[in-house]
Amino acid sequence: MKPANKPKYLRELVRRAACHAVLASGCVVMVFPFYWMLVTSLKGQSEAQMLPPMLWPVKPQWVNFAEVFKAVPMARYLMNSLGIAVVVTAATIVTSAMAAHAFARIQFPGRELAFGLFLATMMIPFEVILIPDFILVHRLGWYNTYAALIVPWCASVFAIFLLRQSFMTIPTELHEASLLDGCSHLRYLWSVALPLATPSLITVGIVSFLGSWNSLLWPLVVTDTPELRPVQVGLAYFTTEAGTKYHLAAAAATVSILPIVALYLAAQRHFVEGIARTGLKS
Amino acid sequence: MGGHTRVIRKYGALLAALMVAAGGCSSKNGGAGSGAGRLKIVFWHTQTDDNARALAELVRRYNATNRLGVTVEALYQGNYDDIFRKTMAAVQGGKLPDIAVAYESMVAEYMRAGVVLPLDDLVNGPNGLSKQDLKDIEPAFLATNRFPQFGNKLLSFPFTKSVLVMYSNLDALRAAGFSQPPKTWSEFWRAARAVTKRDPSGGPGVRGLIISANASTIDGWFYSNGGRLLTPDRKRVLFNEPPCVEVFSGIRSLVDAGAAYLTQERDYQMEFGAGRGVLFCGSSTQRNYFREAVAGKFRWAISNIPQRDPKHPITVLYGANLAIFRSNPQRQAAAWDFVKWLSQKEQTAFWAIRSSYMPIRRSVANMPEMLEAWKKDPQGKQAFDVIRYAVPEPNVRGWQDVRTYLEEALQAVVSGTDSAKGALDKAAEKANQALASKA
Repeated sequence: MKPANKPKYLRELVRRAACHAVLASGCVVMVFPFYWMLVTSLKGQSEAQMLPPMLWPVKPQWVNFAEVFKAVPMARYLMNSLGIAVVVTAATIVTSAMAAHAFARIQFPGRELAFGLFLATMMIPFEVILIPDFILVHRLGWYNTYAALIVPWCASVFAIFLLRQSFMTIPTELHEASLLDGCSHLRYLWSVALPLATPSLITVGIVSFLGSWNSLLWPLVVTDTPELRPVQVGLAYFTTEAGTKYHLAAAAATVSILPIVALYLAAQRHFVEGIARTGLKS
Repeated sequence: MGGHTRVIRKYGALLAALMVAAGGCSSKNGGAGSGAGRLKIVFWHTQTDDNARALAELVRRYNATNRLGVTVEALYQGNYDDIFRKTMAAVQGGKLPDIAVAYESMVAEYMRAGVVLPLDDLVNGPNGLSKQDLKDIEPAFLATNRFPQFGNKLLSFPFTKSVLVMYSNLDALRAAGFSQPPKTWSEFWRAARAVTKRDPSGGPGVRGLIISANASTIDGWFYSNGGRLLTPDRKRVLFNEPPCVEVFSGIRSLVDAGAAYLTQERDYQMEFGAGRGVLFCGSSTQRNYFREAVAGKFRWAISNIPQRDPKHPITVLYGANLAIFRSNPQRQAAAWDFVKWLSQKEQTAFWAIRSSYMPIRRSVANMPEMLEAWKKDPQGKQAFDVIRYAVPEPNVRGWQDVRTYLEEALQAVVSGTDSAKGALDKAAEKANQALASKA
């Protein structure tokens, strides 16, 4: 028995080692940019511009982080980004869940056409609608207000699409049984569809949150004052037309991605599941 | 299910509070700080970091001292692309500021929309500039703000100006037998080859010229080799003529000899600082970043770009300007007062010292504070000495597209996908179409 098992055991070991080596190299590729950002954030300006680049700072400059907070109202920017992203995410989930349910389960004339039109809007680049959107926001009296930063982003076609696909994977029998039992559409959505679509909901949440967190041009266009501006404006601060202070830009970037990393780590499993499910049919 | 509801309940209150806070925290223009009876004017700019702090200090001083009772509110609006898009949105949707920072190509677009206030009447008016002032301001800085396609009017005023210069690693040049930076094109080609050293162990070695595909640099090179960019009527380009082709051919030869290489983004600063490249042509504004990259490892200097005729040197100007938008006479007068104040000697010197832009007046060269600053920044003085040879780049509508074609042509020549003449002919054809479509 033993001699027969040994080659099998060895083969398994080699297979696993190879598998882990491939995974580990992928991991290095993914992690290295973050490592590089962190290391650069701890260098001095000359050191950050050095060639060949140093993989570790000679003397970690923790003062860079203090400088970032001194140079720009980073705490304010972070709070703005957080507040805006949370409200936008919550509102997007509410609006897209209701629209997705209508498109998935309610029969009404022109449903497919309406859904097609919704999807078609995804093909219009943001640059094209920037000026009309700006004019609308201005006429509503929202220029330089939180409303301009939040309201236009409270509905998302991508989120509607993602949730609709997810709702369509729920057996229609569940919907019919719920209606027979006297459920309203909202009750079915709340008590049956949403709990079953949690991974997709979380995906929608993360995508909305990230989109909001990363936006720069729109906040610059519709606001004037630093009190209303988000964290990306803080990142842009360390780049001038003459060059970039890489060490401070990296420090600001490190601060700005912390909430995103935390969010991703917390919801990682659901994120992957949610994306994987969108292609499934019952 | 139960957990689901609990989570929603738990965070629901928090979300509601945030939404209320967000809705209630709106801020309107013209709030605190404007003071009763003061006229507030809005100034959109692109400055960040040290420059933003210097600008904020200038604005503070103006607000504290001006006699018109004007309060300037300086607002950062992103980089030049961002500010252009925002201004174009505001042209159509309202909310234009009183003053905005703009490149000449942007000013031309704003003027086409009819929102720019020509400055000639203000410059020559009772609160205008004296003859002495106008003599003191570098002529090229004013010339670049005159737009032939709009009746040669002065549509903007110089603000963040710099000049195309050559950065040289003096130690590397000296080691190759050159006691100073090359002044002529023939010296330049020789020096770039002479300093080039291959690393036998396969390392990057040292190469003569670091190239960045930048249209302003290309424009300057063409001018300084006796080339022309446009016909006198500014309707067609001329950069596929021999003097310009010669420059690109020279660069191709350097690349073939392993003596020149193309860099992306602003990598040239690091390459120069690491001593891997010896010569670089670019904006004088970048010198502080070069200084940080060099970090005292070798001696370096700024000088004019190489010339065909060193007796009549030439280079090009860089940088943005201030445009005033049409509003009412009172606001326009206030905006001009601020622009004029910024151009005065003290403010010019302060701005030049604290930012890395060039002072727009000649007389600041004798001010004690400027001389003191140049002791720490000798390359600043070297760049200042080049300004007198600087000429504006074309500011016709459509030139923004032409810039892209020129940069693509240089990339094609460096990468060897096209010959110098072929690449410039193609660029010229596209450029002529662009100029015709926007004429």
